[in-house]
Amino acid sequence: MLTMTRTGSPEAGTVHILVAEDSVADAGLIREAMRTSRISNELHVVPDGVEALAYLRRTGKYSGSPRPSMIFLDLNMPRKDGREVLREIKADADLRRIPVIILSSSGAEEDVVGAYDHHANVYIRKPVDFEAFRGIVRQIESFWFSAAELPGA
Amino acid sequence: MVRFPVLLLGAFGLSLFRRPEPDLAVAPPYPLLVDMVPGVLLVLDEKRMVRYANGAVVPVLGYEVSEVLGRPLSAFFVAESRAALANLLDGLQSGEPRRRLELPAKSRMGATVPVEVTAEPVGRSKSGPVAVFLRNLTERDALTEALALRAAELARSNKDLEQFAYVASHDLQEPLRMVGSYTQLLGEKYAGKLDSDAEEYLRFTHDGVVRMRQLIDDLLAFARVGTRGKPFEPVAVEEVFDQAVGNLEAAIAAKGAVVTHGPLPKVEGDRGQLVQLLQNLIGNGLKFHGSGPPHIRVEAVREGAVWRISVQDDGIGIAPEYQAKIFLMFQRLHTREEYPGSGIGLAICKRVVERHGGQIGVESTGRPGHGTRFWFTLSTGGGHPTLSTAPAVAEHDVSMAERAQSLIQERLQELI
Repeated sequence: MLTMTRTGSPEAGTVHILVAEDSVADAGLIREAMRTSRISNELHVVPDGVEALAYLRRTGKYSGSPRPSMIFLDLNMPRKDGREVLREIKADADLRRIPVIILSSSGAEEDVVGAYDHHANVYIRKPVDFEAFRGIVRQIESFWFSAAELPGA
Repeated sequence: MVRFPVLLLGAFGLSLFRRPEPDLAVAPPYPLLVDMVPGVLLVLDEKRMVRYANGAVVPVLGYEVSEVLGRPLSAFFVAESRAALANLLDGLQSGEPRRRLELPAKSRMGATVPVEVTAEPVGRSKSGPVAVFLRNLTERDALTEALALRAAELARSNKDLEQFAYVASHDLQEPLRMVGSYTQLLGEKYAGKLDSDAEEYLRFTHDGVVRMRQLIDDLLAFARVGTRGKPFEPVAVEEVFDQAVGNLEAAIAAKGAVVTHGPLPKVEGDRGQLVQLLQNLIGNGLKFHGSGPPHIRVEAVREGAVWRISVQDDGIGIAPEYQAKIFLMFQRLHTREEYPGSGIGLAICKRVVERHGGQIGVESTGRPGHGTRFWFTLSTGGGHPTLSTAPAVAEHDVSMAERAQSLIQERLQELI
């Protein structure tokens, strides 16, 4: 039942990551940072919270989408923001096992505390510097996809 | 022959006008001067009837002098004041030398007039005549109220401004992050493929981003002096010094600087902000140094209820004509190529010192080698119970405003 997704190893399949991010430029940075990743990955970018949940529940155009191993979630998004998405994911017995990494430019105490209160797996403040951002993505990779054991789909 | 017309006039006057005359026995020796006093002077007999009144009863209470004479003092006060008034006069009789209190009086038209009542026996006898002075507080109360309004307004606009600076600087980071990140990516991806012009443009863009980021960080720091300050606690300035110097370690080593201090006191303050203050001032000395390695000395001198702490360097100095400007936001005296910086550091210092109820200043001849002496004052502690115990820092401005208000009020009372 628990198939380990040891994505660092060559025999592992492609890691699917859902990126909920309304800023195309920000999504581009994530893509850029992941492009040079050691692990084979595929990013699925959605522009708001409604789309993110539709993707996760495989409704509409997302009916055939692969289940992600991880979610990068922005907090401030149109239609349905990241806080609501987080709550719905963590209230869903099936989806709540997927690690949610909050990626936000906000350093506000209430955002950080609120995210952990709603069981975010980690809160990361987007660094101003791209080099630093790339470094953080590397760390996410090495921790979540190498050190950590993740539940299978 | 002489007496008759006088008696006649006297009798005539009394019977025709029934005009009570001031009791000359209790009238003050300089009635003309006393009429000039901008307050009501009344002299009461042992039955607390008014026997003398100066001209100020007209403007203050709306009565003619003659209307006041022969009436009890309590007639000129609202009913609620009478018990306190009687109590005051009783106190005099039981030997308290001079008493003062604030009570609402009542004008001839029935309007309430706030007055300060001071009473004192005229002679040696405790049960003899009593002089009562009524100072009109209407104007003072109006001023106090206007002042309170203004203070509240100021506190609010201060808070708005801080909020604005905070939001603006936070939101400004966002697009900047994009510009910075994508120029970096551009440079990486097209490294070696760009001509020298394009590489120079990229470099300029990058420099702009770095400077803008510094500016935004400083602006945030400036806004946070008000919004992120901590309640005051006893702080040893020597520890503040050590921490500030520790934070500047790299710069001190790079310049070969010598930073020393004399005996330093304990003060009441926000430790983090005091570190920032001293760090900025010492950092200033490190930055604007002369030809040799900088020497910076921090000293403290007690001046009454405050400590005057100074930071003396031997750097390039600041010409007197610029000294007024340096504590303002974004004021720079040098080109960026000579000395980098956003011009917010000293503005932050000023804000921190002001939040602590102190003053900041600078002394310099502006001649190289003479250096600059920055100084600021801090309370010796215990002097600001409201501030040191204030739990919420957001309320700081309000309490500052209130303090200023009570100070001005005290000063006003001295003046009126």
